[in-house]
Amino acid sequence: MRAALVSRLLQAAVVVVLVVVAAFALIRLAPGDPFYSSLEEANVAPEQVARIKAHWGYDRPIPEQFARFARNLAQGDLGYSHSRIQSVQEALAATIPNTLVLVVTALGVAFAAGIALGAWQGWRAESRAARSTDTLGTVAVSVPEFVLAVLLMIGPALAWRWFPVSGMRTEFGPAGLAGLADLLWHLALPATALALPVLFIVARLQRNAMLGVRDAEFVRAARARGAGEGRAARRALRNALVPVLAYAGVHLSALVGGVVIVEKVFDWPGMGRLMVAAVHARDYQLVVGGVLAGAVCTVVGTMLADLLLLWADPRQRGRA
Amino acid sequence: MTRGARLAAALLGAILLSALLAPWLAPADPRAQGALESLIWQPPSAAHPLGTDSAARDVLSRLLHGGRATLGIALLAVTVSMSLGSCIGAVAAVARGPLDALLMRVTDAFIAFPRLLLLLLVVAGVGHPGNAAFAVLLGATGWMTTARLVRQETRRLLATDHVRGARAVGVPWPRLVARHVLPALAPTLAAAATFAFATAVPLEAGLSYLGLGVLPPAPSWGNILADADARPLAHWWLVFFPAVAIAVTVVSANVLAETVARRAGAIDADRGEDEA
Repeated sequence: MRAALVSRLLQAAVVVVLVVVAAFALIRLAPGDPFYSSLEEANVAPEQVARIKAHWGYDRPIPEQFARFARNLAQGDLGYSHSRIQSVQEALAATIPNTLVLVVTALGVAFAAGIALGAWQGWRAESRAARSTDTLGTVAVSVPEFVLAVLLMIGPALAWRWFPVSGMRTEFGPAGLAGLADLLWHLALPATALALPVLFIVARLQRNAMLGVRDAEFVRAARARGAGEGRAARRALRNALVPVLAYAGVHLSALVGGVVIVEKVFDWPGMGRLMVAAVHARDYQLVVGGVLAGAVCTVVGTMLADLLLLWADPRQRGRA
Repeated sequence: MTRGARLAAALLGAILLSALLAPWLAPADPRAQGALESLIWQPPSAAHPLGTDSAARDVLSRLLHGGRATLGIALLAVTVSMSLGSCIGAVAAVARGPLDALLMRVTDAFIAFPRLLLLLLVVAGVGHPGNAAFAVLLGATGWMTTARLVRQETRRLLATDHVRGARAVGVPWPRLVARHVLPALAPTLAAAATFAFATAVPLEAGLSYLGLGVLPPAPSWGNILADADARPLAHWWLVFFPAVAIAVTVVSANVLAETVARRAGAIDADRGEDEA
């Protein structure tokens, strides 16, 4: 098991290194630089522009720039964001926790509710209620987060005014427990938009897996020993979790796109919104830093899902 | 074919046809702006069945032409990703050994990396690349599942009797794959392509909504929606119609893809029984 984890870690490290090199190369080889709109378009004298570029090291050869970038990176310095007028790590440190709050809540709700729904659908597959919720799921899975987010914004937020339209906290709002309630109130809609598609995909996988193990011998044996329905279902559940966790590991990176869009729609002060603004501002350092942070978060999340998979399915532990 | 699948096919066909015929169906030029300030943000009326936008342009015309952009980009992206994925998967399956291992590690790396971040990175570096290049970019970041699928299925097929027979009589590898393997994969690939289309449509719309895909004044389903951003409730028609268009397209494509996948699976299952 340890060997499997080490090899996964190495693989993850290779991905991150490749991302760093690709990100830097792509951004620096492209035309234009962060000073284009602020200085060159604004009719600043060429020698002045050259001096500012030299000050930030943009006049050095690209390999040298990369060497310095890599050295700084190794020391935890991601560079300076010209559009935010602060260091990249400060900008990221201010937004990553907000994104994590959103993503962890959404995934927690989606997996808990999806597993419960799917397990029930599988255990009671013959009932009409289970079949109709499954049909509903087929449609719900297909509605993109982005459409869902805008529809949630119009209905519950704007038309009915149940939830706030944007942001993460009420300005000058309460602190403490009331502050937490305020946060949850702001969180409800963006988290729902992110969670719903995942919930129904998870439910579908869980349902099929449950159908697969429902009549397996170890479940029948549990019943034969006199275990109640609930205990037999729990036995089946742990085994039926395997495909769901495998899905989580593989598809976590696909969820990132939804996060960026949902943050933009609900003006959530997270990394996604920051990244979109950085792209529009041609703020290279911030884009590269953000992409890097996003890749690391995704890799870590994927590894967590793999660990859970090892817990749920001991058979996987022997494999590399 | 179930009733649901038939309905999905009909809806998708109608949407594709309306996009194809947009220049003849659209009542107005999608970029033509209204002459008067009072014509902007008109709710649906007889003159403008789906209302007008921030520049007094006809939303129905923009929706039809926007469908052309959105669906065209999605189709081109799927063509690119399917071709790329099939090539990589087939080469990996035939080559085996270190090349196979290398290609699969590269595939893993691409899967581990969020597609949208990759696209953001490229758009940040290169700027707005134009619609065709944008579509190729979408395709170039979406080939991984196809590559895995094709590799796995090709390996399975290479072990079957008819392919081994062809190999025994000296059919060269490229022809072997093109004539004996890929045709057998057609149903599976058709299902994968339909799923990929259902992913590409919201991806394009989402990026255009963020201002990173199709740029105004050219219409796309995503950037029509973005026009209502300031006041989506007051200008609901700018949100509602493109949202419905995207949702109906994606739901139909997914339902259709599931039907095709089930059929492909059924064919494979039959074949498996024959062999047994």
